[in-house]
Amino acid sequence: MGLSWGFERPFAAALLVLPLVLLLLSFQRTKPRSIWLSTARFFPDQGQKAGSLRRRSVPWSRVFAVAAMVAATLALMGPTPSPGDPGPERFVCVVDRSPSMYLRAGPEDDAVTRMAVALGALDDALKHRCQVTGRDVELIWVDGCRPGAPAGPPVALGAGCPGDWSRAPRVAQPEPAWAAFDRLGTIWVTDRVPEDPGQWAGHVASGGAAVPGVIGTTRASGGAPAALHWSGEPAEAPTAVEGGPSARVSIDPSLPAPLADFVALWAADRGVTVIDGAGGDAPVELTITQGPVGDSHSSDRVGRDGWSALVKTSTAEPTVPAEVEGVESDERGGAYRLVPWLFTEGGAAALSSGPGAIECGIVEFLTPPNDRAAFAVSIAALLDGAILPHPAVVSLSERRDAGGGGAALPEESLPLEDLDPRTLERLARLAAARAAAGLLLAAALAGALALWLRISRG
Amino acid sequence: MRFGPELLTRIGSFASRLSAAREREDVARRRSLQGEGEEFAGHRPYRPGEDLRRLDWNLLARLDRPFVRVHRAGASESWLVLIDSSASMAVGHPGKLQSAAEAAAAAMALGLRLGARIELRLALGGGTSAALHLARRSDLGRAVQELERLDATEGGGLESLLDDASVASALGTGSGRGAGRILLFGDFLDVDPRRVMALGQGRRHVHLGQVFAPIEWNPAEGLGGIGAASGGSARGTAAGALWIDPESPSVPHPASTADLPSYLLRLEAFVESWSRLARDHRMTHAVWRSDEPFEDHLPALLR
Repeated sequence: MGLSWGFERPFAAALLVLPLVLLLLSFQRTKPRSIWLSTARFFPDQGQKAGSLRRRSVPWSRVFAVAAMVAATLALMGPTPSPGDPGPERFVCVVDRSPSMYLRAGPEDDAVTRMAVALGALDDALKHRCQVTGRDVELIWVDGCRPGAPAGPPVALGAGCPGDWSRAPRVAQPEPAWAAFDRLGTIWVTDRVPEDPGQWAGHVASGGAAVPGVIGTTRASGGAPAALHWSGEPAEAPTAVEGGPSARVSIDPSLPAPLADFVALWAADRGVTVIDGAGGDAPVELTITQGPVGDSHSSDRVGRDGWSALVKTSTAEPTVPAEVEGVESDERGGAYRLVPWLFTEGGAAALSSGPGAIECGIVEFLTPPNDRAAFAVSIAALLDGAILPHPAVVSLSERRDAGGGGAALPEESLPLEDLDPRTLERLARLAAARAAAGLLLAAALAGALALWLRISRG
Repeated sequence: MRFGPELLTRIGSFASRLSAAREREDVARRRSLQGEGEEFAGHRPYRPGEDLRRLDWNLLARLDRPFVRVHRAGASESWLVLIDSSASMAVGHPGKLQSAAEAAAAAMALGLRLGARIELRLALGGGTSAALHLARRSDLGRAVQELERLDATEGGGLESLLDDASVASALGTGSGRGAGRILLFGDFLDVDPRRVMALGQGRRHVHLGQVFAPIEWNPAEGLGGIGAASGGSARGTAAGALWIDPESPSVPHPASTADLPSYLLRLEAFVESWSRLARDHRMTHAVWRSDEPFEDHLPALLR
């Protein structure tokens, strides 16, 4: 990125009047003074030197003095690097995709989400900036909940954020660690103004009232599943309500029997609705799939948490532990890694799990688990950890009042994309210091030379 | 130009003093401003040591007191005074024309005291001239008035005066006797030396008063003190200065102090050439600065 020079104190340019006046006076003195001398004819070669008079009319000392004054003035102005090509301003928009952003912004049931309000406020603020600066704006979208590469190349203002960001990710995300995004040209898009607004980054917050609703599941006094409901009043404690949203689990019919039977028991105990794997495309909170079976199988012993069993696994290439990359339309909200949970003696993954998904590589249990109790506790822990909460269940902290919101854009757009703010600031200071030192040195040399010439001329 | 009372007093004093000195010299050495005639002017008491041949024996016999006969040199002599009033004579502080006019007035005052008939010729420019004839000492006032009106103008040089027909008549180039004494005052920059030398024919006395301005003797003074002309320390160029010759103002010359030594050599050679020419042709020549009093140089010029 090319750099051009700007000035920290451009008003100091007024001092350029001094050398300008001196220069004008010098030019004024180039008009030769006439000395009447009737014996001028006795000067030798009078005509040959007349042409050189104008060239030497401004003394060198005056030229050096003017140069010294100009250099000193430039040094006082504080030259500093600034973006050379104005072009469009670029901002990095770090979007908070935590569950609170997908709650309604107002008390009405049909109110838009806080995310929509925040994006609208961002759009309005940047359009206003365009009008003020006269420069276009480009945005780089970053999912603040999962920092990494931007969501795509810079897009023009008004193009909107990536499409699926208007819906909550299937896996609840924590609020971004804003301090990690405190950079020049960065805008935080969230619902609640961060307590530490940052030094370089700006923010756009939608605000929003508290949203009442289910904040968790529990069991009623009779042991039946119940929902914890919060009224939206900060002082009121949540209350248990029978019924409420029920999570769903989709079980592949080809799961080996002991595992399928236990999942059914677990679902009944947890109040989770079991859906046939081929039942439909509706999103569920847990999907248990059977890995590729293939034509040949091998016998392996697997075991964990105090139980073991002899199982038959497929020799086909397992999908685990390969990464399962989510696509843009993935209801789970992006890429998740299925982590091997149970290994064979040969080191292959027999069971892998991730948020809302379990993949089973066991084709058949050749022997039942040697310790059924340990097996139940172990598998129950696996299922409890993998199942996602029902979309209607949002934690109390997310449902709380987000305040009035607000917008504070950063003063500067993205200066150098590849440098962090501290490095950029050091670079600017270093360049300014070098330029100032160079100009002051030039001024000192020029002044000394002018003084020397004046002294030498007596 | 201006002739103030002080100047007129100086002129009168100078003429009185110099005429008395001439008289004594005439008596003592018989060297006087001898021109075409020597007229008896009267008697005065004899002073010891004087030539007894000048003693008037008749008066001594009649009065029994020694008196000497006094002959006033220049009496009945015709003088022609020419003043250079060309543009170059305006240079200097005071101007060369002022200095030349003062010297001419003083010379004319002396001539009138000596009984000479004086014709003052002034160039009016354009090749014309005006004549003023002086015979009595009281005529000097008219001459001074004319001199005060004199300006340095183009075409008012000695060359144009010598070209004037009436001046030629006054010089006696024709059949007349012409002037016995010619006095020329100016810088002699624009006059042909041969024409001046031609004036000294016969017994005519020619006096050349050459005047230059101080700045012409030391041009460094005009450059604001950047080196002295003769000090040897002058070097470089005086920024933004040009020498302008009044006779040719359209051709300026850069005012270089580095050229001053060469300039002075040429100027001195020019003055020396006039001095040598005057000596060779039995003329008197004196040169002075316009800021110097005429009393310092006029006696030598009129000797």
